[in-house]
Amino acid sequence: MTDRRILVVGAGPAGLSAAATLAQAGQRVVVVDQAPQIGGTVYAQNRTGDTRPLSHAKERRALFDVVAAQRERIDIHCSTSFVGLDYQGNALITGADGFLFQPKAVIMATGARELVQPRPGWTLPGVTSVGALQVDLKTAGRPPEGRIAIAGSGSLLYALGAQLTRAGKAPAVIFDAAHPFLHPLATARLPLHILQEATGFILTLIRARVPILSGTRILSVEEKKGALSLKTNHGGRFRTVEVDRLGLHDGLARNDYGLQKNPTIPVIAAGDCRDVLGRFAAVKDGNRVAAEILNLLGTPAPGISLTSLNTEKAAQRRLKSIFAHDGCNDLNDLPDETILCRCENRSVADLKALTATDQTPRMLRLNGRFGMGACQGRFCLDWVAKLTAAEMGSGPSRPQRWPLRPVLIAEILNAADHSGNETHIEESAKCTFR
Amino acid sequence: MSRNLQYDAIIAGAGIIGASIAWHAARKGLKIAIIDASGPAAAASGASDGAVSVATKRPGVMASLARASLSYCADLAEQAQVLNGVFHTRPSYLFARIDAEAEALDRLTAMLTDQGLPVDVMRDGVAEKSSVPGLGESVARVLELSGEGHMLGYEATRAFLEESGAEGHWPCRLDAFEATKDGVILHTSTGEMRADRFVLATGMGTTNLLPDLPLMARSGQLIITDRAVGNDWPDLPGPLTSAAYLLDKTAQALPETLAPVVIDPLATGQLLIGSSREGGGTEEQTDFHMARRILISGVASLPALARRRVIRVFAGVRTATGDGFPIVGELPDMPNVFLATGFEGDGIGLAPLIGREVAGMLTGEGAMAEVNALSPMRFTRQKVASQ
Ligand SMILES: Cc1cc2nc3c(=O)[nH]c(=O)nc-3n(C[C@H](O)[C@H](O)[C@H](O)COP(=O)(O)OP(=O)(O)OC[C@H]3O[C@@H](n4cnc5c(N)ncnc54)[C@H](O)[C@@H]3O)c2cc1C
Ligand SMILES: Cc1cc2nc3c(=O)[nH]c(=O)nc-3n(C[C@H](O)[C@H](O)[C@H](O)COP(=O)(O)OP(=O)(O)OC[C@H]3O[C@@H](n4cnc5c(N)ncnc54)[C@H](O)[C@@H]3O)c2cc1C
Repeated sequence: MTDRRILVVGAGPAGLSAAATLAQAGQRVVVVDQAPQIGGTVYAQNRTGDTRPLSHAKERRALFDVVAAQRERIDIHCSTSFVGLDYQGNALITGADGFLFQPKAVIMATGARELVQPRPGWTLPGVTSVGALQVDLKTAGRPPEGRIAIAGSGSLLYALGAQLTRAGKAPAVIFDAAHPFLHPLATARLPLHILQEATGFILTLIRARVPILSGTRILSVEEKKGALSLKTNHGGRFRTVEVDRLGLHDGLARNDYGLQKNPTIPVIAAGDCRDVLGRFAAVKDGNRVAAEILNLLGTPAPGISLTSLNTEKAAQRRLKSIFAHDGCNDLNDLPDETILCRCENRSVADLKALTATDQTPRMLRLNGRFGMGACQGRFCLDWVAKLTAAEMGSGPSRPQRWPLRPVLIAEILNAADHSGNETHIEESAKCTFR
Repeated sequence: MSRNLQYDAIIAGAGIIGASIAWHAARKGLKIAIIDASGPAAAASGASDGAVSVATKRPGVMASLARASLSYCADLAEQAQVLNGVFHTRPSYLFARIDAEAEALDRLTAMLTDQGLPVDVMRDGVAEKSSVPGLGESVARVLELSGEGHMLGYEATRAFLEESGAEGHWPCRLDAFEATKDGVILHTSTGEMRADRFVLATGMGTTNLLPDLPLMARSGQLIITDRAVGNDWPDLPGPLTSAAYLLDKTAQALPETLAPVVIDPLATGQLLIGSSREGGGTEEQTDFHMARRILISGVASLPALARRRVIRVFAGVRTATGDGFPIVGELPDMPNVFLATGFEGDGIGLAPLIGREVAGMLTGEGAMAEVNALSPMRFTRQKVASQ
């Protein structure tokens, strides 16, 4: 039985603006987000009780106001995860509010995936992604202890650096594999809002005297006497730096998990999940995808101007060229013991040891175990694909199956069945465990 | 073989059956090529459980084939080494929750003694006395067996292929074949190939090549959990299987909490929970209702399961036949073309034996009586046609 509602996964700028557009057109919408609050990666509120002013407060309020105006038609569930969509078109939702239902369409607005390239030592305690440090900072409301280094490439290195500085904890150093300051022309042509934000970050960092070493890569990380020892390479000059925490970030990528074509209902990606264009484009893309869904459902849709979306697209292209570099490390030079897949603890040597029989995507998964762990390849398959491109062409495909994240069996069974095709769960079989 | 063709034999299908045939035939000195539309273990052999079981087989031909293959598996692991580290024996536990299941356990015990199977009943009694801790209240009786085995389909496929030295071609799809007096000619997606003999071990793919064969898809959904952490998980040394699997198909129409289920501990510490048996179905089709049905029954029999996490759900497609027996042997109207398909839910366990017997057919040595009974001749009335 098809539900009357449309499911929006992700309450970031893309998901919220899509939900609002759909609701304005008279549709009923269910929004789920695994985070405890709405807002997504940039606009989520700090932990309750934190009174520091929010960044982007104005943008955030504008977005939330549009949603608030439609609250009657938008049903929002936080701390609630979308587990997947099965081939019959049923969506399984677990967490604070678990249920199983058949939406009439799904908008995937799950944001970008953060890329972290494997390097020797990247799995040591104290090494995390820049995004994880950002989330820590936001949810804990205060920066982590000790000396922090930020490394890799992309604008996020500077965003986090500035955010840490403003929170009273300037990073010890930023290592950028690219040379972003050698592109004044491209930089000058960035849209004003991006330029202003970037200038703000850089000024904050300069004022706090944070060393920014461009053209510098981290070759390896080792644990030495409770600290992290980083070996860096700046155009052939090697140095060792000691810190306590390391944030790595090698760019953002679209997020195609859970995006398989469904035979029964439309599934469309919006925002960074579809194409990493930033938070301004995400709002616009949410509107656009909502209109697309309305058209598919045969209901009147508002006209959406794509001009601003195209401007953001051009800006992101420029940003990309500013941050372009020839790889954070040469993957092919990684030492054998470097871990590629941290869930299954598989190294470069394990990949090399695969035999001729294993040179198919399927055998790489089955016998190599790459992409078979808890994350289902979210973090390793990009790199494994690059390393095996010569033997396998397209390389291992991302398994498109549910669950998108590991999910408790109790939660699967406790989800209320609103699909109209009820598995009859006897009281005695319900799990008391949560 | 003297006609100087490219190969003594070509095998189409690099599942566990094709791989086992390749290894056995290569050991007999034949020059072998094996082709597959996608690659090794691309279908059922890479999407199944790995029970090498005798106890769950129907008495008669299937049980006796299963018995022969089980002891042969041990030989291949110990003497011939090819399945060393791949095949293991381990205890297995069959449990009953209702009278019909308990009666099935009685019949099984009788069969094990009557037929002198290499499987022993180690313990039989109420759940509290079994060596599996933490069973659900509904579990009334547990039969503990020793001597049954386990091997993962894709690991065995890989081992056979690697050790065979056969020439592997993939992706290479077989589109058509003809038996001529100068050998068999294969038309594939990468060109023409010739051999003296040809084996079709293409699982469900066989329906495209021989549409008149009574083959049908019977898919099964399987669930993989995370690894157990800490000691909140009862030690499970072997698979826990509900006796509902021993009941005939009508008796299997049980309520949710009693649905057939296997909880199989993998070497990684993960659990493989399965599996449904559905008419039709494809590898892409997994659904929440079926997964919940399997999990409800699983949690009812082992409540601690509720605290494990599912990391993956997938489906495999079994190739079933009209009469429930595999099809193995030379095609009646096509000399030198052999068929080995239709193993439904038994192909992992039977592959070692079937490989040996089909290799015997290829060299002209012939096969054991139970395998000859599986000949496609039994369908001649339905007229097996090529292409
Ligand atoms: C690590 C990281 C850091 C970033 N930092 C900045 C920054 O400092 N400044 C900046 O301008 N931009 C930053 N960006 C980019 C910015 O987040 C995006 O451009 C913008 O937020 C995109 O909006 P969105 O709605 O597409 O996705 P997001 O805002 O990312 O929202 C996606 C939402 O989906 C939810 N979600 C994902 N999967 C599921 C699921 N299975 N079930 C339920 N909910 C789910 C997530 O919890 C999240 O709330 C960052 C991006 C990342 C990945
Ligand atoms: C859920 C499930 C659980 C199971 N559990 C067990 C168990 O516990 N114990 C047990 O013994 N058995 C079990 N089985 C059964 C077992 O998996 C199969 O019987 C066995 O894998 C069949 O092997 P096969 O080589 O005949 O076929 P497959 O593994 O299906 O191989 C056929 C191969 O042929 C290829 N192919 C098809 N068409 C063409 C073509 N035209 N050209 C070239 N190549 C082609 C395919 O790509 C494929 O690689 C289970 C099966 C399933 C689905």
